[in-house]
Amino acid sequence: MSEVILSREILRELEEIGKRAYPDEGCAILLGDTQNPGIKQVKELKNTADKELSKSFFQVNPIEILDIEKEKNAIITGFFHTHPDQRAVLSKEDEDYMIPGIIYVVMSIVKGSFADIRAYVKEPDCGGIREFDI
Amino acid sequence: MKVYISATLRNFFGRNPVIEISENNIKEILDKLTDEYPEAEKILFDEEGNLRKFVQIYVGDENKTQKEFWSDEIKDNSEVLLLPAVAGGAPRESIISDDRRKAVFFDDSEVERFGRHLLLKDIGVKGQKRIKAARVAVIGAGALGSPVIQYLAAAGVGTIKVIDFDEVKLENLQSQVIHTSRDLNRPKVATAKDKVRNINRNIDFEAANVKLEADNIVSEIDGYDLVIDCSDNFKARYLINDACVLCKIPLVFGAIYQFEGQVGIFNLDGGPCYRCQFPAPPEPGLVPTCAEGGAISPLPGIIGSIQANEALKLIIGIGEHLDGKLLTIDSLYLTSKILKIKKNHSCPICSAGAGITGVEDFDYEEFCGLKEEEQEIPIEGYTPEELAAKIESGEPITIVDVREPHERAILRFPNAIVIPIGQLARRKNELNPEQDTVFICKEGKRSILAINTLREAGYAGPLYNLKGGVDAMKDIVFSHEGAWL
Ligand SMILES: [Zn+2]
Ligand SMILES: [Zn+2]
Repeated sequence: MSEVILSREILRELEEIGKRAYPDEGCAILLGDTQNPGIKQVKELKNTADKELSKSFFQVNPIEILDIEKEKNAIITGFFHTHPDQRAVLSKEDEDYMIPGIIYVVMSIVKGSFADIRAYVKEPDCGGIREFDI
Repeated sequence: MKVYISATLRNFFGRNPVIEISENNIKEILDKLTDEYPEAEKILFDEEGNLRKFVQIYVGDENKTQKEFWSDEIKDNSEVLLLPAVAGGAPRESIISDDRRKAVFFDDSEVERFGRHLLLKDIGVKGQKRIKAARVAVIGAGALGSPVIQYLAAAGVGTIKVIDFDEVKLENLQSQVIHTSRDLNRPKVATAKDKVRNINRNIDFEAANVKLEADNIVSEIDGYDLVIDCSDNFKARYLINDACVLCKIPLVFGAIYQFEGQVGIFNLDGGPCYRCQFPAPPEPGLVPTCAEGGAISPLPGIIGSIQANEALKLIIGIGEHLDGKLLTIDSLYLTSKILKIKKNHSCPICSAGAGITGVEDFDYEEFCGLKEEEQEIPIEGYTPEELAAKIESGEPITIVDVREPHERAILRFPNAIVIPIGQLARRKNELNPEQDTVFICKEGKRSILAINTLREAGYAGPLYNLKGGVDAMKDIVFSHEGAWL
């Protein structure tokens, strides 16, 4: 598998999250279900980075993720965040924070509207990073 | 005590959500966990033994990720949580650091000269300072180099290096607008230098009148912020790509052929390189180089201008650009498309496993099969004089022209049959194995490919190559005109 399938609705939801957060970075968790490990559902996460930093940084309270995984009968497939006025490529920090095997979807929002979307997965041995087709 | 493992990390712990461990501080709990699940050790800790950034350790609702808490005693009834850190930053804005930008100042004449840039909201003083601080290496002062060099100079790029070993020839003036008739036979870098001086004397111009090879390219481009590939052949293209990966320099790529051009940005912040999409050069001869193929005059102006524009956007740090993308423009039908290029996990040059430490000193010409004497089966050939003598003597020979239609239109080869290389194998019955067959192309390279193709297809008759191609035959004079052109 080297492909990430996003339905039109999911894509629209992600775009909305990105536009709403602009000019700050927006972020969300991508969920599948036990029957289907793909991306079936999106839940916006709160960017807890300081106001100063949030234009080029995002951070999520891990307890929020804990609550989601405990309450929902869902499988966490990936995480999503936006790069306001920046390219949809991973920064060094993005790479450092990637958990192997989890899909990271990055969307570029330029001047408040969608510009590009790309998906990446870190190798299971914490080695390289692969870009997946969307 | 109960250790809760987040669903995001559970794969490395036998998919267990909760692991019962008797130890009562974080250090010992982690030791115990990695003992039991050895594969988790590499996931939790990096090579230096530090906890990876994406892991956070909580006791109850308190964050205890920092090492200073690891020997604190934990009460038996509390829950230890291994949670993911979900965070990240945006990539850097410009390829020019803020420190270098801040070290730049403008005098009055520069404020006047760049006034129109300074007024643009997206460029402004900040962007113009980045442009002045930038050091850009342009490889090739030919068709693409002409607009690239002049626009970079006009925009105010502080340091421009131009690398080219060639001299200006009359045929260059059809597309290489930086040179004029007065520059014939001068080194191209000398013309480029004059031109840049005339635009702006404050620019640091560095001329390198050298041919790039595996053993000198790294020292020629090292230390520059950006390389712009304005070369016209595959050998240079691969050499430049490999050296840019090695030196970690982003590359603005450009290429033209006939009516079509391509632009892309490679190797930006570890992004995909040219080889991620094209691991090796195409078969020699299948794609004629620009020198063989030619292009309509304004095409390099269009493509080179886009290259210069992309370079400036990278320097200023604005807009959406062609990073990891290949833009193809057809100037004949005015269509364009953008191909997304993915980082190739098994790229021979830029993947994590490639581990290159130098630009490989392999012979690109041999690699591309351009060296005639090193073919597996030696190919026999006629010199133009030998072929002319055979034609004059009326000896029955078959001449096969494998050139493109536009090349044949410039110089028709009389009494030659035309078979494109792609059709040779299937049309081999049109050749007479009882008599000599001579293959011709423009420079005598594609004709070698044609012969190899036929041999592979099992053709047994005698095959010859016209050495140096039609180009070398131009000056041959026949005793009676009717035999020739
Ligand atoms: Zn990011
Ligand atoms: Zn590559």
